[in-house]
Amino acid sequence: MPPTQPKLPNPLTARQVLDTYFLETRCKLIEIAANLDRLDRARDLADIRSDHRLTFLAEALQILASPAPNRAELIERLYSKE
Amino acid sequence: MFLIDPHIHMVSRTTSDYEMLALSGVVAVSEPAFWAGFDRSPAGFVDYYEQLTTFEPKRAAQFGIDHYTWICLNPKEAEDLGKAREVLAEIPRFLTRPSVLGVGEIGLNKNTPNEARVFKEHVQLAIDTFAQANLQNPPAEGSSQVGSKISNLKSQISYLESEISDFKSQISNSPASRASAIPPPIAPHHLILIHTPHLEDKLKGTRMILDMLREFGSKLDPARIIIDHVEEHTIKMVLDAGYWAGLTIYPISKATPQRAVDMLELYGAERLMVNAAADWGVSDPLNTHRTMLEARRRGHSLDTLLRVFYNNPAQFFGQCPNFKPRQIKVGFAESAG
Repeated sequence: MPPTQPKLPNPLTARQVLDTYFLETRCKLIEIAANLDRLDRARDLADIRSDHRLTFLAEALQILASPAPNRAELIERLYSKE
Repeated sequence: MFLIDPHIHMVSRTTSDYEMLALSGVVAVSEPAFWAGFDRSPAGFVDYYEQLTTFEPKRAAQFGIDHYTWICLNPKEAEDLGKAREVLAEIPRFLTRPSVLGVGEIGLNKNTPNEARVFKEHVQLAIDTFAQANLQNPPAEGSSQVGSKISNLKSQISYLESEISDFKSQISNSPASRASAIPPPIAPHHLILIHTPHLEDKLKGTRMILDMLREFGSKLDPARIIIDHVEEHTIKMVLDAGYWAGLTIYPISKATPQRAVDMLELYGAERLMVNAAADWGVSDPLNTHRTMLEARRRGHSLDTLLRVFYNNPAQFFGQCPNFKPRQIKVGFAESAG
């Protein structure tokens, strides 16, 4: 887990962070959605149903929608070989 | 704004890139030895080390850039133990060259037993060759090495004085943080630069590296070791163990400028460096600058930028007398009239 208090706090307010990164975040979310749509349209989809990377993507999306304070770290850990 | 690029593979870049780096404020680069994209013969490594220690400093000097380098066998070429040991035998004579900072980038790639063996042999070599170099060439009083060390210590004292001043104004600062900023008085081994594995192998590989370093006990000084390519899931364990941490900004893998600044905010600027690790793959030498721009965009102070992108590399590399740039401090001129 990251520190609960940043050692070097971001000088921006929450409103400023939202203003600064909203369009960038929207763009990346649409990109993810389009990637998944492309996958669904692809031929021979049944051949990859058991591919572990699909499970990873599904679980990563759940983390993304969660309120955890360290979502980036959790997705990295999910993708790590132990 | 001046920068020091702490990790870049200039042998893979064009001379125009040197010019671009100079134009964008880079005054020194540190180039670890790495994989060429194919496995070399031992003779190929010797040629590579020659290139790193003779040709590249001259190419960089055309643009006023100091070129420093690190010598090692990359973990991707460690599987053939016989060949690896042939190369290891060639390394000591290059460690004494004037632009060499230490042993690196060693580490792991796929976390195999042979990679681990060669990693530990590199660490042992960094300990043994440093001791031998000091036995064969004890620094005489008045020698340039002693002068360089004194100059370096003065620079660090000056830097620490400004840090103490800052600490006094920060009530929330922890005693542990203050203590770890004080450099150790004795250098027991060459500086070591460590590569951590990519993607799904990074977490396990970083843990393995920390475990192996721990086996050396008091023979190793964490303040003289940087563990590079940390991400959100590995940065804490590296910093908590007292090592320096490197954030690498890549287009797809590793970190982005935004995530790097997030980690800077969460963990602070102490013992943290940012690099672009530009090489022959898809990479961009200006990603270090983009990270600085991201920090600036959020409103972080010039002092913070100077610390992360110049003074931290100068502090870490400055533990090696070969490294010439000293830490700098900015101030405001008195207002006229």
